[in-house]
Amino acid sequence: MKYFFILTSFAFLFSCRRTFEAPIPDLAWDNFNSLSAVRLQNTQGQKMEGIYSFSDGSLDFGTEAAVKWSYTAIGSDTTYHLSFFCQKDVSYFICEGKRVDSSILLNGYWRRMIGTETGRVRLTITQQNGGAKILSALPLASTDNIVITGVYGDGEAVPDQPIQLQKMRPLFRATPFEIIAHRGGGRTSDLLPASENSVEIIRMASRFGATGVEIDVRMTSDGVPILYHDGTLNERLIQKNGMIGPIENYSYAQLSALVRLIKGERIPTLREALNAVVYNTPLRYVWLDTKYVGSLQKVRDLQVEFLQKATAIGRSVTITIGLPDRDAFESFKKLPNYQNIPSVNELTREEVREVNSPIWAPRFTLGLQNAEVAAVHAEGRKVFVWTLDIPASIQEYLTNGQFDGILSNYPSAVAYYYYAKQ
Amino acid sequence: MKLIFCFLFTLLFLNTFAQDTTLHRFKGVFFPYPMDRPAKFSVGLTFTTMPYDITEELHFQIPALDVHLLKRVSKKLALDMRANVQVVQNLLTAGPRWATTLNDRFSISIGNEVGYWFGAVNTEGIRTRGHGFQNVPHLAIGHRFNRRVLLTFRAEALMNFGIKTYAKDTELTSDYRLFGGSTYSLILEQPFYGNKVLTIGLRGIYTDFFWQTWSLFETFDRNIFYPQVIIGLNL
Repeated sequence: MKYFFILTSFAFLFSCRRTFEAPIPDLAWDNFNSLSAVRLQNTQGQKMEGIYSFSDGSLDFGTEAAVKWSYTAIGSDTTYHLSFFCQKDVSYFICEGKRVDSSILLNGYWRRMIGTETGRVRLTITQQNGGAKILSALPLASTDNIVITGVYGDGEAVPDQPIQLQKMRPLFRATPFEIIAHRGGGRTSDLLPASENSVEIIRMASRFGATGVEIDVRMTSDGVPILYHDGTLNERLIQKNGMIGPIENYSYAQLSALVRLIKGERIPTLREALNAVVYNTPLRYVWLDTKYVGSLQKVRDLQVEFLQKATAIGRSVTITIGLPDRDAFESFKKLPNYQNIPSVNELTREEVREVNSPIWAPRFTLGLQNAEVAAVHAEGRKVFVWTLDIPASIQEYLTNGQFDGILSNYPSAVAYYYYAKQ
Repeated sequence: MKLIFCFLFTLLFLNTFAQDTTLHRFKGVFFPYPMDRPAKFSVGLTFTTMPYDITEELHFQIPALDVHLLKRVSKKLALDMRANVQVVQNLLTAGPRWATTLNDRFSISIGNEVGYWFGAVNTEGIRTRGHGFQNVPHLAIGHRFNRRVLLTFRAEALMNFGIKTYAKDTELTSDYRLFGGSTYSLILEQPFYGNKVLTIGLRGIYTDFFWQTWSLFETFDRNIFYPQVIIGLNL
């Protein structure tokens, strides 16, 4: 029996799977939170955008970073963020900015997406290093220099490792391009601050570099379109609660009352998700990935409603119904006037033409397909490739491909390689 | 876990009726012991559970044929050769193993295996292929409970290099760490039927790249846990 117990003990040890986390560190910084610190305005933040070169910090973050300004609007409260999409290892900083006298303070955190490393970042742009120019009402001249200095640290440690960045050139924007964040902003397994396919992650997506989001749509037993990727309730996506089985077996009321996503959020309805996109974020594209078999009429109704709502507030938002397989394709063809409904089609080019999809979405493993992409462009359609996460391949597809958008779990990597183009 | 406990109870049952001869006392291929015969051979299966981080909602186990040959070079030195075969993807390893006894009950071995894995599979109509090398230094400590039962604890360091993966002709390889992780195994070898020896083992693999997942093109740089069950018959 002795060895039986040894093996049993080993088996129990095996069942203790290590849980990975990358929590946002405590961002308290006395200078930043002082009464004299005032939030930066939108126009001031936009002046900081550009490609910056690292002179300190390049060991962890690479040679360059693309710096991008974004916002989250909830009610009358708008929060601005300055994101640094770094060249190395899919790393980024996300900071908020304040002015103190003629200097600018940037306070936030950094994250290495492919691992679990994170920590605090505290940056300053002094008056002499461009702070005064950013804070003035005048536009920046191309000769104006901006130097950002500061420190970063690991985890909750007081940051003490130096960073210095200097602005080199503006962001590349010569060709329109969609950076589409998978599952609303990123997968739960990427250890982001919010769960995949939640309203909270959609609100964060632009901070990660996204200009659009892909979200997974399923239907509850009482016909409410919701966001959820997997076919079943499982420990990958929800907190343990004893509920199992196909999510379509549950009503929305049951899911709303009894189920919480990994980070504690409710499973959102599609209405809540589209509401967040239109009213809370600068996102301009939504890919509704159809994950169920059945009528698409309710999804179509929401698509129409939120396209109208976006137009009503002066926003240009594109919402497309995803056609990932033949089931969704056949359901789509049952919609009235389907050839005029915006869709993103993962099937063949013939099927793209059959339902007049404005976007063709081939899988990345098919390669660059420049000839096929050019042929689709000639028909007046766009081509988005999915789901591309390998940094070297993202660079390759942006440099040598002709795609109009990339769907990725790492929108910050796509953002870096896109904005750093020359 | 259910599978693991089934194995354990099977083991307990079998042990009750196991034969007790000296012929198969040290026949185990995992047990670190000087070579008392020209060769030892085992054939079996490994079952590796794919973690949610990699396969998401598909929480499945991948079986692989496991063929293991230990060829005597000298009394304490042997050539350890092993093949993990799934047809569409395979791992071949070979390397020296040096073993010695510490006392009547305990023995140890050290060794190093160099491996090459390769695979080709059609994913949604797209031809994908991959190959790479492993270097696996290892250390094992064995304990003989009685004349019948051999218990081995084995630790391995995983070093991955030369990894290349392709979709059609496009290379899609992430930068994986050279020191990719480690494994820890507890393996029981005991008499079975006739002169055979049954192997039952549990192996915990902690790595940022597990060769059987090459076709998923995952990018995580953290040591993800892959539990593996090993069963085999030493002939």
